[in-house]
Amino acid sequence: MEWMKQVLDNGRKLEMKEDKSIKTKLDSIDMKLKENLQEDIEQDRLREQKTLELSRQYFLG
Amino acid sequence: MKDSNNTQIELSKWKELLSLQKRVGKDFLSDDALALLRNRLSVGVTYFMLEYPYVDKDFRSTYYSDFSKRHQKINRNSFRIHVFGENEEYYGFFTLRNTPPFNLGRGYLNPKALTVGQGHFLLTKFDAHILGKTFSVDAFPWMQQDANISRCAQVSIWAITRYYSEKYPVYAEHTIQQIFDLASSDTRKIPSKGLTIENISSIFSFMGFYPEIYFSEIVNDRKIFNEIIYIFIESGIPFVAGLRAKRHAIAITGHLKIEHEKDDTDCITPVSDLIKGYFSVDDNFLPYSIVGSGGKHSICDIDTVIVPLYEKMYMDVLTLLNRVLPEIEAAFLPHKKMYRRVFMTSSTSFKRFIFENILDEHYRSHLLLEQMPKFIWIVEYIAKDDYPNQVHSRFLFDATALKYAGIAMMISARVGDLFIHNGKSATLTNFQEPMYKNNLREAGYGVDEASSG
Repeated sequence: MEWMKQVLDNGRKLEMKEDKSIKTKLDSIDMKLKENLQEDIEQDRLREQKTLELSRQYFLG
Repeated sequence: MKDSNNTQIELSKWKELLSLQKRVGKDFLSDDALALLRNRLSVGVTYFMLEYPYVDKDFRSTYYSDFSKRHQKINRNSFRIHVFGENEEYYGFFTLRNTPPFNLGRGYLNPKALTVGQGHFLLTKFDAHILGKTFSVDAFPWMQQDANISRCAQVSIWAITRYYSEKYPVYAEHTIQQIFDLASSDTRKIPSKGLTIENISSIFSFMGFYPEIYFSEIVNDRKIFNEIIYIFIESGIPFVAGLRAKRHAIAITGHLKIEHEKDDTDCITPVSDLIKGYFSVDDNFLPYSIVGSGGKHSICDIDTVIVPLYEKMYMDVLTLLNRVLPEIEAAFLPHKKMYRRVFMTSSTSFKRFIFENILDEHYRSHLLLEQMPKFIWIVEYIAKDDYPNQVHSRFLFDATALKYAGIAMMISARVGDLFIHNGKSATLTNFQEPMYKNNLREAGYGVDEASSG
């Protein structure tokens, strides 16, 4: 199982460094995804309601 | 007509359909059904093998539930017609039932048996046994509606669920009658009037799926709706498509080969924009009929998607497309001459792809050792100049993530030579990666083309 040993060894060798610019970008995305949370929840609720209504209106076949 | 007291199975070889019709009679092969076959059977078909009597489990289920109660005698036996091509290659079979003019019963036909455009198909392996010998065929199930028990909606559900039950042991097999019985109705059920979209979704739920419904007017963006159609097919998930203006339902089961033309537009273009048509199971035509380019329906006719998902595919595709990706693209992809491919896959399949295709040993091992959820959403960006050769950036999202989880739903990403994980990054020495194609191939796509996806 030489290949397995290689995977285990190599997996630890990838040098991951703290990256401020990446962290800033990710934090900014996170903030934007959460800033309109109530609006998103409302929108989803409305979408689910409309989907339910429409799904009862049409016969296919 | 020979019947059940006959101890010998009849097997005979036929070169052409007209003689076959003379042998079985118009009660089993009407002129309409014959015309359907003649229009679509491939020139590669060399002969048919007739088998009688054949007990077709799906027809027998409706026979005992309904057809046996009719005054006019309906034969409970079917004919099974095996189709062979060059060098005795087995192309599958279809059955003929005593329900004129809709005689074509359960069929498992490989695309090679029919005139079909080039493309990518969802197919799975079915076995047929003739005189103790087993023949295998890669196919997507198909049948005509009988107009009494089964209509297009039931046939679409049946085709999809038969594909699943044959492919994954977790799903039980249901006959067409059992599917019919699962729908509730406040008026009489026979003759069937079809199903409401809610009925279709409920039937999938009863059968162990976790369905979701998308309406074009609720998605409210035709481009995004078209991308949703593509995404589920690229994810290897066949679905029921509703054509509400035509009161029709079909199953979408693959897509035409992508004809890529030079595109210099400075924007992110979904790969769905390059797809001119999809393959379908439409009970009005033989299998793999095209929706879109040259087909009887256009892609815009599809205004409803009812997709049977697996339990752990929680994260909604609309959240990804409408909320997450615009932010990701604005932050990480300033140069926008890119194609976007979005699909879901199992982490097991993805790791298999990583094992075989990633050249940077450290990066490859890091991904292989990473704990991942059962299903992941993958978003690939391919530079328009490089399509379809290599992926510029790939983002992985947790399909089991909590709703409104924010950026926590992103597992990791590679943007060019930069690998990103948990706010940290690493520069890769070799980041040449092909597009992920395992979904279609993994699902047993016999006629899949290696060169495009």
